[in-house]
Amino acid sequence: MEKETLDDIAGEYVLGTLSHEERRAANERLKTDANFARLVHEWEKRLSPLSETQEPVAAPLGIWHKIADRLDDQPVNDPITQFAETNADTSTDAGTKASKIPDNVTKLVSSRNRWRAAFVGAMALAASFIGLQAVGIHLPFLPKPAAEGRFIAVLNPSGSSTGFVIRVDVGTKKLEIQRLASEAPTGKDYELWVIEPDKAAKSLNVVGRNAVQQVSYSNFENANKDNQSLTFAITLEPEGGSPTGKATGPIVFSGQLITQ
Amino acid sequence: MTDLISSSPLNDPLLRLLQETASGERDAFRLLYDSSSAKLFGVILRIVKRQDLAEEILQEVYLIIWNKANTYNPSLGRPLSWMITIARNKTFDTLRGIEAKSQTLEFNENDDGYYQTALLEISSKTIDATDRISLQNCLDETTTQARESVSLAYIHGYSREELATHYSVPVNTIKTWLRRALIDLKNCLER
Repeated sequence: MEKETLDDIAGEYVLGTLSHEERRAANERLKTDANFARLVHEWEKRLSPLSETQEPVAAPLGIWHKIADRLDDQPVNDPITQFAETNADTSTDAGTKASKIPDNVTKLVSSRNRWRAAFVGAMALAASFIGLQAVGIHLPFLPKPAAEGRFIAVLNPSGSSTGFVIRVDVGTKKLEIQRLASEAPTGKDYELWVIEPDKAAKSLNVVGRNAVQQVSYSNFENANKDNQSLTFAITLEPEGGSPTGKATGPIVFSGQLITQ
Repeated sequence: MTDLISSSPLNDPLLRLLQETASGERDAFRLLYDSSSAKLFGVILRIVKRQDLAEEILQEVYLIIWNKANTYNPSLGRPLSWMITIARNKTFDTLRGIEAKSQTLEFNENDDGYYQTALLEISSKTIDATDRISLQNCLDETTTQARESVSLAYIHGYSREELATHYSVPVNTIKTWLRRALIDLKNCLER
């Protein structure tokens, strides 16, 4: 047999004939390989008339009610909104925190929605990282402690390494983002969002290709008000940023400000 | 149902329902379900051939649609195509995951005729006529075996092993047939 190409695998993925192991590997690859995702999409488009032309079969009436019953357990649609709400959950008093997080995780996993599962992973990593900071362990890439009024947010990916560092200087009203992660995949851009307490997420624009970038943002009053912190998230959006003004892609990095 | 489907994503009434679903509007989601569930259920049922399993998968598929509606954009294709892709992916993930436990699926002698019937019944409102005619022409250009095996796999969920049993040939031969068929289809569609 001739050597297998990525396009062969993409074609058979859409055809449905990959074995269990091959399909699992392809699903993993789809999460990280934009070229493979493009090939799969092209095959979906080529073969879709075969699906769209099939005769409909009425589903039993009870199915809708089962779906409707399960909607209450589903997270909020907008990933950023959900992020803010989950964050609010974890900021309750320590006694309830331990029991809340597992519930959340169970619900999110049961939704079988990959980005949400990844998001939980990111949250867990973010929480553990902030914990490390609290007990005084400094990782080498972090800047040294600075003057009062400066803050830093470390945004962790769902994997293991650090993705972005954000530095906020209230005094000079400067926000600087430093990319430590790889560049966004071809055809995609990272977009930075800020979530102020009790407000909807606001885009701070696409994060460019530069490793360090100044970002325009002036509403720092909320950074330390009543112990509430600004939260930052980065989503993977189509090139040029979200076309809708709301996050459309998965949250790949997230984190809260901590005092530096 | 076909009244809700038109050929352009931007003019497609399902687009509005999908956008409202993305905003968490359950009434819109209910309408979206009513407008598309029979199509999705037909796709799933043909692949898994088990009513109970198809019903379970359909539920999961609509929960995915509810959760991912905000990620849809028209560049991904028409809303119905996008939903069918979700349904197919969920179905094959499930089917290939459980295949080790239940290897045998009864072969229906009529199966290989389905794709012809289906293509003949295309509504011009449902999909882009150019796509339909192109695919049909290219399928017609391939060998009978290639046409049948692609149809049995794509529409009826046949694995390579099941196709090997059906045609009484080794699995590797099936793999070669399928890949050859896909290459021929691709080359033909790009002409």
